Amino acid sequence: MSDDGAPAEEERFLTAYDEIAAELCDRVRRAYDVPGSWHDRIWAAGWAAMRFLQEDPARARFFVVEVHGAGSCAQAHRDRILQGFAELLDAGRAMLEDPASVSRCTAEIIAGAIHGTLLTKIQNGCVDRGEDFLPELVYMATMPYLGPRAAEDELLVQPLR
Amino acid sequence: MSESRSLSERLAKTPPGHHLVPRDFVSRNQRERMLLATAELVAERGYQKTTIELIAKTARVALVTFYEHFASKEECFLAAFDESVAAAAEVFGELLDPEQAWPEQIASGLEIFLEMVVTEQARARLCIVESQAAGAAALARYQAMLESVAPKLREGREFNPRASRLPDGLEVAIAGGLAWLIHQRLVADKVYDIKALLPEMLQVTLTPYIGEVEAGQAADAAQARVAA
Repeated sequence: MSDDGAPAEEERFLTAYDEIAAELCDRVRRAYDVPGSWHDRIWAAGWAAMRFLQEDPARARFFVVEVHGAGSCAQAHRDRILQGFAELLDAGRAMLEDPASVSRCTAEIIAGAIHGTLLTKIQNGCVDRGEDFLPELVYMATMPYLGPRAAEDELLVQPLR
Repeated sequence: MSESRSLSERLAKTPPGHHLVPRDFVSRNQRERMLLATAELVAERGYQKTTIELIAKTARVALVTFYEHFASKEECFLAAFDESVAAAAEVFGELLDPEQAWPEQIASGLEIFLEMVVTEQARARLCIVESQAAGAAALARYQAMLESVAPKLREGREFNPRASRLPDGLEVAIAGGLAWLIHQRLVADKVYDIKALLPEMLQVTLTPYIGEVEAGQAADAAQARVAA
């Protein structure tokens, strides 16, 4: 990346990025929108996202890691994806006795936490072992809405391979 | 905060021009002006659109002076990042009371963090927003910054009898989540009411360790302080 910026290069990156994002979001949304409890839908969405990332580790690295350093526009595109995931998490407020006690900020914090964890895992080449750390992502997703005790039970789940 | 002057004020000491002062003082001051200029320019224009020429011009130094201090824009950016994080760590060190109970330390720490975001927005943008768009080295600095918070958060595990179940990376994840929440407010220029986020940030941070009831009580206490 040159010091004075490289808009054309960023545009090419964004085109490829948006294609991947569209496919990921479509698969996650279809998995999430099946009938069932919010908890089950979060697991389904998590599985769909993990499978997508595992299918092509190079694509996963491009999508999750290389977006950093691709410019402010790329960051904005990444942020839109994360905000979309925050929407799925925010629906967990319905599980609370008083849904109004928590705002959408909580979902944003959790989306950021999950993204940061995925970033580190992919940087470290661990996405092929996604089944091992998917429970900790679900723990983070459910902790504010199901409570810490119930969320901790997610950590005991042994996902089928 | 006990320090009334902002970081920017503390750094903007000697103006440019000829001075009968030691050369190393002038050199240090020039470096500080360039770091400050970098933070301001990157906050305003983004890292990609900030040029070495602009940094030099804003800092009122010659280009040759820039290259006496830094080999590249990236090196300057990383130095600005390191300086900002070090300054923030100094503030935390001055203001945090290690004798406080752990939940109160976390509440104080978050409160200080939000205050710094409000009073040093350019540096906050540099560290939290632009570091994620400025290449691999800057991203590594950002991740190291999150990791530096983890030990203090991890102390909370002593309050959870089932702490051995908690993910190893939980504390870094929480730090990253809190940072992303603030990242979004910085990007949207919605920093003016950022302190109102404290109670919910605290609730999410403390719940894994002390449970939702006690975390809620701590959040309520924080809410009362914010409202006061």
